[in-house]
Amino acid sequence: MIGQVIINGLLNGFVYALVAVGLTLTWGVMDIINFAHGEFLLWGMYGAFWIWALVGLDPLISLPIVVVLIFGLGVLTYLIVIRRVLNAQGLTALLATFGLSMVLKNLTQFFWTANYKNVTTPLVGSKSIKIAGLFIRQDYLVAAVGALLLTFAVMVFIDKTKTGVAIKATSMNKAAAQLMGIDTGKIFAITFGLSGACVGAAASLMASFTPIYPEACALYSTLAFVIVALGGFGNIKGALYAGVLIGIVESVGGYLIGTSFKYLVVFLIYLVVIQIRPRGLFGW
Amino acid sequence: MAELLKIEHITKKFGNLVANEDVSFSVGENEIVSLIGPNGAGKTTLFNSIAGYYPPTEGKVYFQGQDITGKPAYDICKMGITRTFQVVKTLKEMTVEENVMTGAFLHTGSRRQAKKDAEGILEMTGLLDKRNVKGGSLTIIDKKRVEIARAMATRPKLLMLDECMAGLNQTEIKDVMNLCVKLKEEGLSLLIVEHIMEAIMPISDRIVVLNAGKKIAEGLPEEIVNNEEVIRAYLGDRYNAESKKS
Amino acid sequence: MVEILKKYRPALVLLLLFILIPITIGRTTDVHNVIIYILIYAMVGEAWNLISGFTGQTSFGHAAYFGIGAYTSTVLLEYYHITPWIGMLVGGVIAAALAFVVYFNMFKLKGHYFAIATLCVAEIMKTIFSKWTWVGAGDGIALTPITGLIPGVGKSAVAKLAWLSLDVRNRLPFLYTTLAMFVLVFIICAALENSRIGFYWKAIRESHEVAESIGINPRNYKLLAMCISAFIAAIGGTFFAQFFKYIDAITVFPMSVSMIFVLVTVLGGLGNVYGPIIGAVIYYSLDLIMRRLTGGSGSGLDQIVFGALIVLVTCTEPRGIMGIVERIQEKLHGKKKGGEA
Repeated sequence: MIGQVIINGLLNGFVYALVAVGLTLTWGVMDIINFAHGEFLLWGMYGAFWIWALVGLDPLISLPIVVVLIFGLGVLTYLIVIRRVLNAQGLTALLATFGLSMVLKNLTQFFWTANYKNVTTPLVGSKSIKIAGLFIRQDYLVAAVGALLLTFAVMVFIDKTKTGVAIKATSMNKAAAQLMGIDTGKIFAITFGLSGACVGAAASLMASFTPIYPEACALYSTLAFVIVALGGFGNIKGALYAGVLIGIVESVGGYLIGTSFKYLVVFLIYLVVIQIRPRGLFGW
Repeated sequence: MAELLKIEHITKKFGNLVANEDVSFSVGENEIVSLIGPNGAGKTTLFNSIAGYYPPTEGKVYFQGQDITGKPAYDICKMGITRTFQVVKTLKEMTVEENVMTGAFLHTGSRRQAKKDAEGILEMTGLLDKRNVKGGSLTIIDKKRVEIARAMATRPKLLMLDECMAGLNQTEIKDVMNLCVKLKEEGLSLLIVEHIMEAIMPISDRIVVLNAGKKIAEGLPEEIVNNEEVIRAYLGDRYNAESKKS
Repeated sequence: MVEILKKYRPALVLLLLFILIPITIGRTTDVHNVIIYILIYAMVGEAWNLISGFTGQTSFGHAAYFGIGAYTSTVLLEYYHITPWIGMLVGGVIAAALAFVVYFNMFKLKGHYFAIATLCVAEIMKTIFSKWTWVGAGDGIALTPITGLIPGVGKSAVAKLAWLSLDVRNRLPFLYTTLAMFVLVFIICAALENSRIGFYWKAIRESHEVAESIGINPRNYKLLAMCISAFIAAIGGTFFAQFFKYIDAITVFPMSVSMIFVLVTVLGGLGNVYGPIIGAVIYYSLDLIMRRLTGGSGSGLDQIVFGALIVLVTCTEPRGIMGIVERIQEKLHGKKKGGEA
């Protein structure tokens, strides 16, 4: 039974991780807390839903389209808003992203009401397959594997490509990066886009089995904050491990002391870990 | 002369790196002692060990006979040792007067008293006409003045100045030198870390020389100038460098 | 004394407006409600400003104290018939005690790591209170009218003492009581800012190392800021519960509530005693206007316009509304000086 609980948490955790990787990118590279991150995810879900409803493409098939759309949303956000508040002191940037989150969230309500939307005929159904005595829902499995692969893709991109290395360099020392001839403005725009792409992909993966409504992503964004901090700000590997850890903790906690308390365990874990590792599990 | 500060066999290691090795010296009451040495000699590390920013790996620090080794900086300040920083750390969003008042609050809970105390110090440091300027918008020399003024406001018995002349021009260095002499006349002891030998020689009562973390000499300024090991380690470096250039 | 009055002239003008508007141009329940919200959220904003504005430790979890204040006074009133005036003090002490215990060892965390920790504390409170049957669990607690609570007390007597019992049905007395409490909080915060404690808080915000070098123990002063802040936030929570007449965990503990305090303060001006009240006035007046223009909040249009406005303000003046005010002042000042010369 506990094996079943852990596998469920693990599957959830990979999706959490992908959302958190998106958040940790902007947080680490630009030191910006993007409160609109959850709303990016929300717009990704609505995007996936409407493509399915209007054109009939399943969210899993339309994933590349949604990724490109939310990448664009991220770049636009940077160019229109973030660029202007990047060097402001105090919590100005935070306030700006918060205003943006209000706009994005309520736009969905304005256009499409607060009612639930569901992808009623998903490509991969909710039937379970049995592996080694464990029941695994097919749609969860596909989402988890997809999220894991995409997280690896982001890691490879950051480590191996020229742009990725430039992003890394900028996150370590902005001034030095500029001296080296890196166009930090361009890097920031790409980082914001990439962050959007991560949640766009996560949205597509989840859209088949998640009810879609304006408040759908509040929990994901809160969890993403905790995961990012737990893993260490700006640390992609940290976000992956912390995401998986939080997924499993949530699932096991829910099993042991009741589902209604599962998030209590999640938040407690952060408070405990941070006592021992004040800069996150993988921070330094 | 009564001993105010006594440092015994201080060693500080960061991992495998030995920043200070077995350094001992003392500062007497109403005395100006300068700590000199080439870059990377471990002056600031020693400074931080004394002022409580990190505990030394080995050795003891005594102040007025009391063991203060490893005590936190704020407690050491309360006992009567206040330091300044090599990289000036002005409280940017506070005015010059508020900067100094923050220091003065160590001895009084009353805002009026703190303001009064600050006024005297502002006058002495020549900052009176800039009292309402925000710390962030000062010139470098004024920032250094604020740094010293704020430290003085805590009424220390021993004032520790960390490279307070770096980055200043000749007249400004003279200003700071005069200020140091004035402070001594007020009855303070000073421990000065400095790079600029010319500035430090005339005002120091004694000089301690560090090289590669170790104390290589201690004595009166004129003795130090003629000490061969010092010339080799410290001045020699510079002469070598200059001859290489030419 | 005269000097102090002069220094806080803008505050006196504001106070006069708050006294006059409810009985002159704003005599509708709608406006009264908005003013009460402004005062409550500005009150907690002032509290938040102490730890995050003055001391520089961002908190995303002030809803924890706000909620504790709301629940404590409500439980004392409903279950034990104790007046909210005592309830708010008890709530304040509990909130401060919680802050003390939880954050005793937490200030070694830097910046964002600390902010996320505060968020976690509030979320834990939310979970506990939404499952705790003694305080109504998911159903929350609806506050009974005072007349129904205390048997034997005639209706007229209670009505006369409406402001004493914090009964909101008598709206105008409640509004003025809330105003009085806000003024008290404002005075306390302004006094703190000008005292040794305030100087030390700011020194810690500007530089930990400098603070330590001049004899300040940063941990102790941060802890003090957090505890005072928690106490005041809990009092705000009590006023909220008395005003809203219904509380549950989702209403008082969520992150969105924590963010209101952050929002009004940063919008008005971080680290400035006027910040929270100015921010709250602008936030809720605009909210009211927008609701009237767009016809209710069902469509979300008011929030869209409002969010866009926030983005606009931050993009043009990073220091918030107080930044704009300062800029205008500088201009006026400059002109005056120019005229004299």
